[in-house]
Amino acid sequence: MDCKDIKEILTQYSLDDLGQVEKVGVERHLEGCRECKMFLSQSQELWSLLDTWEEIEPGGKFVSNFWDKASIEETKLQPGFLGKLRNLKPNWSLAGAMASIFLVSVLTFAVFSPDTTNTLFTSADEQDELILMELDDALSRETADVLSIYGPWDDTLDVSGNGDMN
Amino acid sequence: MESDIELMLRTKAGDDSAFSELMNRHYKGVLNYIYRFTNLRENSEDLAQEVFLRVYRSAKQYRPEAKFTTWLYKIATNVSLTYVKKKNKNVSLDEMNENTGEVEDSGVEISDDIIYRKEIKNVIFSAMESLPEREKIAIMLCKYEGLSYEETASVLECTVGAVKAYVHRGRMKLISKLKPYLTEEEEYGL
Ligand SMILES: [Zn+2]
Repeated sequence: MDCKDIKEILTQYSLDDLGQVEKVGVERHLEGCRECKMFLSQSQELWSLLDTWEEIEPGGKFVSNFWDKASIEETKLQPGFLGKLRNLKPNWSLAGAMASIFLVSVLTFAVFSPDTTNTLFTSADEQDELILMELDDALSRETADVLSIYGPWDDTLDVSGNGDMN
Repeated sequence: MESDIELMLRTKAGDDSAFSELMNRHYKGVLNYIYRFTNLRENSEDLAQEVFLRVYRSAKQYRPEAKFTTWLYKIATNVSLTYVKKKNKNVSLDEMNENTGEVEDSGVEISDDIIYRKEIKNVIFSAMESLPEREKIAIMLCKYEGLSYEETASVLECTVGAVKAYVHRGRMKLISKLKPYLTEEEEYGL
């Protein structure tokens, strides 16, 4: 350990807060290093110097003065009827929350309620859809026979006979 | 003897005499902690009462999770820091109106010892005030209030290792700041 390392742990050394190995290391270093020795001495001297900053003695009425203050505060904290009325400030966050709930309910009703005046899906549309579904069904069977109903028809074929119209 | 926590729980239940007992135990420590923070004797008592008022007001929410002293000194630290910051904002203005130094009562003979103690007190205060906040608080709590590293760590909301580092670094800085008041190399005959 060099001087820099020693100085880093000198406070702990003087507070007897080092492990045995480190403690012995510091002591061995101090034997041969006057700079660190003086540094330790000044560090300890400083700690004692701080003790010369004397304490102050409190006045004898600390506790009773405290209770006087506490009771004055309590009176301040309990307002009369007018005071309470004055303290009734509008609660903007609550008002905002209620307005939001109202708005959401109105919108929900508008979107999901049955609207009879503006029908978007008529019975004609329903029939068209049934035809399309039938065609779809037929195409999916993918048989020439089935598809033949949609042409093209070859004149050479005997259509008068057993044309399978399934 | 009842523990601080027991007294605080009795306070919570509405027993004011328990709180008086708590104050009797701790007000001197809190008062001196604030005094060393501010170096103003006359304001310290008011600020210490503010600390206890805060504790008393929050008694209803008190839960005995941390050590009472830790909680108390955390509040005392906040009150002191707020006061010091507010005071320092106005300090330039105050300095303009202030006389140079403290005026002594000329009718009283002051011994060299009193002058030295007054000087050293102001010198230590200035040196402490120049330290980074956490180093200063760590030294004040460990050195003057006798809190353990663990308790100080709890007040500062940091690790025990960090507290040790704050104390060490603060101590090193104080050595160089207070060098004129420490024994010089030659005097050791080294
Ligand atoms: Zn060395």
